[in-house]
Formats: sequence, C-alpha cells, structure tokens
Amino acid sequence: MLKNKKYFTKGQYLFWVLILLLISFAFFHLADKMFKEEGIVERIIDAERPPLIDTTSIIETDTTSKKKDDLIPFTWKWKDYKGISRSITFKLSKRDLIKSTNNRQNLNPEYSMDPWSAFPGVYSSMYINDKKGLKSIVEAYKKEIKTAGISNYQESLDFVVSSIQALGYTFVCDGKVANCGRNGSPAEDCRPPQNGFFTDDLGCCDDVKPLGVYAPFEFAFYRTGDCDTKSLFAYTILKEMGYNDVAVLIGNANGGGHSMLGVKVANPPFNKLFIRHNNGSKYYAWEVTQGDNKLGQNCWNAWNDWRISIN
Amino acid sequence: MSWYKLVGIDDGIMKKVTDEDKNRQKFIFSMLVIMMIMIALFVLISSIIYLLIIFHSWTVAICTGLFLSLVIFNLYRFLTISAINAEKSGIGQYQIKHEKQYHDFIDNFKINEIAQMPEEAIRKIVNDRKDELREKFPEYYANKYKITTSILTMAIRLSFLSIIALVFSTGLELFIFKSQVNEVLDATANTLRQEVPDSWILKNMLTPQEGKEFTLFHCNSLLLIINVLHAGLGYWKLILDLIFLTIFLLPLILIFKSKEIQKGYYVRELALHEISISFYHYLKTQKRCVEILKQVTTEDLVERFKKSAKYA
Repeated sequence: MLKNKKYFTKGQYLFWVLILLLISFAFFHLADKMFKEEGIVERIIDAERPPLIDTTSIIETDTTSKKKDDLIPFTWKWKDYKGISRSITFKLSKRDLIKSTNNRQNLNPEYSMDPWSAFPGVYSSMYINDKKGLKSIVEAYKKEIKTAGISNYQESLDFVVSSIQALGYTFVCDGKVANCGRNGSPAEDCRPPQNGFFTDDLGCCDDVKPLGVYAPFEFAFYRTGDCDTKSLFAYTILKEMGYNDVAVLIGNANGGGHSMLGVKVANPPFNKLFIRHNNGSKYYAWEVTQGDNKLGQNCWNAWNDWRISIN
Repeated sequence: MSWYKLVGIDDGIMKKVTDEDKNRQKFIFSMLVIMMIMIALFVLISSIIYLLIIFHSWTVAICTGLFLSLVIFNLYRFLTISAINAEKSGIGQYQIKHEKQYHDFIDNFKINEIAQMPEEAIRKIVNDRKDELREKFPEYYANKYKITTSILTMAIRLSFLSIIALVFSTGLELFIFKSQVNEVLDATANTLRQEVPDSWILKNMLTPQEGKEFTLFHCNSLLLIINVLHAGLGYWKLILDLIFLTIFLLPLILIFKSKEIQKGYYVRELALHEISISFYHYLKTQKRCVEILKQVTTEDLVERFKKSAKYA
C-alpha cells in the first residue's frame, strides 16, 4: 500500500518544490544573477542606428589580369542635394564591357501571364555578372565619401544616388522602333545625354534585348539608360558598397511601367512612397531618373501595383 | 474545506471504504484541486501582466485576467478529471458492460418474482450484488492491469495544456524579472535620446502616450519587452519554461500515473455505483413491464381504445 502511495506524494512534493523555487527567484535576488543585461541595449540601438559605411573593405575581383590599354578612364561630375560639386574618377575595362554585353544578350527570360515575372531573373543575372567589373566605381565612391568626411548613412546614400540621377536619361526599348525618343527623336541617336534629364531629347536606344534594359556595366560605360537600367545600376553599386537593404522596385507610375530603387531604412527623408516586404519591413522608393528626388519622395500622381523585383 | 467537491467528487459513494482510505482519497483530490487553483492563480498573474502592457489599465487587466483564469481553471478540470476511467480495470469489464452484473436476471426472466418484489427488496438485491462485486476485487491496487488510453486523446490533452503553460509562462517570467527588464528599457530609452533622438522605437515604444504614464513596464510594446526578456535570460528562459511546463502538466501526469487515483477506491466505488444504478433501474423497468403486461392481458383494450377515440 505504501509503495502505491509514493507516486502521488512525490508528484505533489515536486509541484510545491517547483513553486517555492520560482518564488525564491523573485524574492531572494536570484533574478539579478540569472538576467544578463550586457549587450541588450546595444543590440536594440544598433537596429535603430544607421550603419556606418565601410570605406575600407576590398571587393573580390577577377583573377585574369587586365592590360593597361584595355582600361579606359572616366570622370563623373555632379552637384549633390546640397549643391556641393562632387566628382569620382575610375577606370573600366573593355573586356568587361564585352563580357557584360554578351551576358545580357544571352539571357533568355521565361515569360508568363505576369508581365513582371521575367524581370527578377534578368536583373539578378546582370548584377551577378557585372558586380566584379564595377569594382573601380565602387572604390571611387568609397574614396570620395571618405574624403568628403561623410559618415552618415543617409548622406552616403544621397552621395551615390545623386550622382546616378545626374547622369541623365536615355530611352531604352526592347524592340526595333524608328523614332522611340522624346519628340520623335530617332533610334539611331543612342548617345548619352549631355545636360541631364529630359532636356537633350537625344533619342533612344532600341532593340536592347531582353526587356529593354542595359546591364549595369554597359550603363557605366555608355551612360545610356532609362528607369530600370539606372535603378539596377544604383542597386549594384550600393549592394557592392555594403548596403544590404536595397532593392529594385517595379510597378506602374502614371499608368506606365516603371522602375525605382528601393531602400530599407528606419528614418527616410520622406515616407510617401514605399512597398512592404513579406516580412513586414518597408522599402522606400527612390526615383533615380530625375535630378533632385529624395528617398521616399512622391513624384507621381498614380503609383500602383508595385513590388520588389530583386533585393 | 472540501476542496475535492470542486472537481465533482461525491464522498457519499465511499460509504463502504475505511475511514483511512476515504480520507486519503479526499486528500488526493483536494490536493489536485489546490494544484489547479495555483495554476489558475498563475494564469491570473500572467494575464494581468500581458493586459497591463497592452491596455495600461488595472481595471481592464484584473477583470479580463479573472475571466481568463476562470476559463483556464474550468478547462483544466475538464481535461484532467475526464482522464480518470475504470474501463481497463478488473471491475472495468463490468463498467463497460453493466448487464454482466445482472445477466442471470436477463437469462432467466423471473416475471412473477419481480412483479411481487417491493422497493426495499429490489434495493437489497442491488446492494448485495454491489457488495459481491466489491469483494470479487478486494485488493484493487494489486490488479495487474495496465492503464491505457487513446494516444490521440492523450496528445490532445498534452498539447492543450502545454500551449497554455508556454503562453502564460512568459507572463510569469516577466513578473519575476520586471525590474531587470525595466532597467534595460530605461537604459535603451536614455541612449536613444542621446544618439538617435528621432528613433521610431523611442517615439512609439519607449515614450508613454500623451497624458498617460507607463503602468508596470516602461514600454508600450509587448514584443519588445518579450525580446528583452529573451535576450536577458538566454538559456535560463528555457529552464524556466520547462519548470512552468512541469507545474502545468503535473496534475494531468499524476492522474495518469498515480495508481491511487486511477486504481483508487473512489474510482472503484464510482464504477460500482454506476453499475448498481443501471441494475436498479433495470429491475424497476422489468417490474413496470410486468405490470403493463398484466394490464394488457386482463383489460379489454379494444373497448378502452374505442372510448378514447370517442372523446378524441
């Protein structure tokens, strides 16, 4: 009989012992010993604090040696949002240009009922193929940001994006169109604009396959590109600079297909345009085609059906 | 106080059990009830903590907490006490098939005997049979049967109680580590004020709403508070969760594993009581049947039917 009584008695004791143990945590200062406060505040604040840009990291490059005469020097000059004159100098390889063009032309995206479904694959392939060749530009940006003494996350982003906005705009078409530029300017005139956005009417570049988008390296070399070419270029440069929370956004603006750069930040300068990622975070849209639009600023009357193409 | 009555235990059916055993059974079920009340108290504290963080109102927190703890207490009563059964025991053969107790009355239908039996005689037969059955299984604990139960039912019971335990354990941990969590939240707010004054977390989570003050925790966000608790406790969180899980599951474990409960005198007497009630009502029904049969054979029912039809 005693043996049979054991189970309930032991179980009951265990119940009360556990409760006493919990009470002892609360009343005998054991809680102080169990709870480690170190690092929690920093971890919460780190998520809020804009990250500092790394101007010292080295990007992995091709092991194939480049001949001196293969490299062409470039200098980009522009004024940032504060009106300060900025410039970067870098060199691009002709061999990398051929590689970039070949990669783009060999892309064969799968089309489906969703008109936007082909874009992510094409963008990803171009980004992966071209990022190493753009190392010189990335290093030039980092160097100039460091020289200018910019350590703020948003100001560093502004530095890069304002330069891309200032590069101007050229229509890029998928098919063969004789007069695809503004005011019927001819397709043969596929030259970079000289004075910026929509002021040159220099024409457009047609028959750029697939999807009428130039690869990031091609854009850097020729400076001819429209919304998606420029967004993808900005995405590639920022990603390689260490900004992981960037994206290429696609959707409709004023009734037509459009592309913008997306950036996930805690405190954007404007919070009018954004897309919510599946995980709940917000990617603010940035118009990179125009000269003075800031992150999250709305410059469209109608802005709908937007999504993240790559991030 | 007769705590055991809160789980529906009727000590009136244990008349034939010795005082020592009866008191032991009462003690066991009273302790089970006290355990459940302790668990309901934990749920009350935990609910108040959660609701205070969300609503910043003691009235809402206490009222809703009381309601939730009563719901959980009743759910516990149902999930644990309904796990007791005698079906797989020796006496359980009779519990499953009550007619085994009075099969001889079914096989040899003694019409005249039953018809003439007074109420006291029926009660005597039933009680004698009950005593015989009790004597058939005198050493109730010694029966070498295995307590079995449906795996699915067991899984459902365990899942429900585990979910309840894990949900409310975090609230109790917040209660235990309230001052430590508040210290971290204060430090975070101070640092953010200095380093990132326009921080979203500072404005929306670590600053009280206009005209209001923080009640228990210096934060508006339950998720941030839980996050701080997780980060601060580390592996201790797992240990504490396991302690709470054990506390919340112990009443059910005891009911399943303790022979004093599953094979106890109360369960035996309850089974005997149910079997006897079936037997008693069987005899009463048979007696009534005999009376009706007599009426059918003696009265002119055709004439009676005609009379009824005339008035209809």
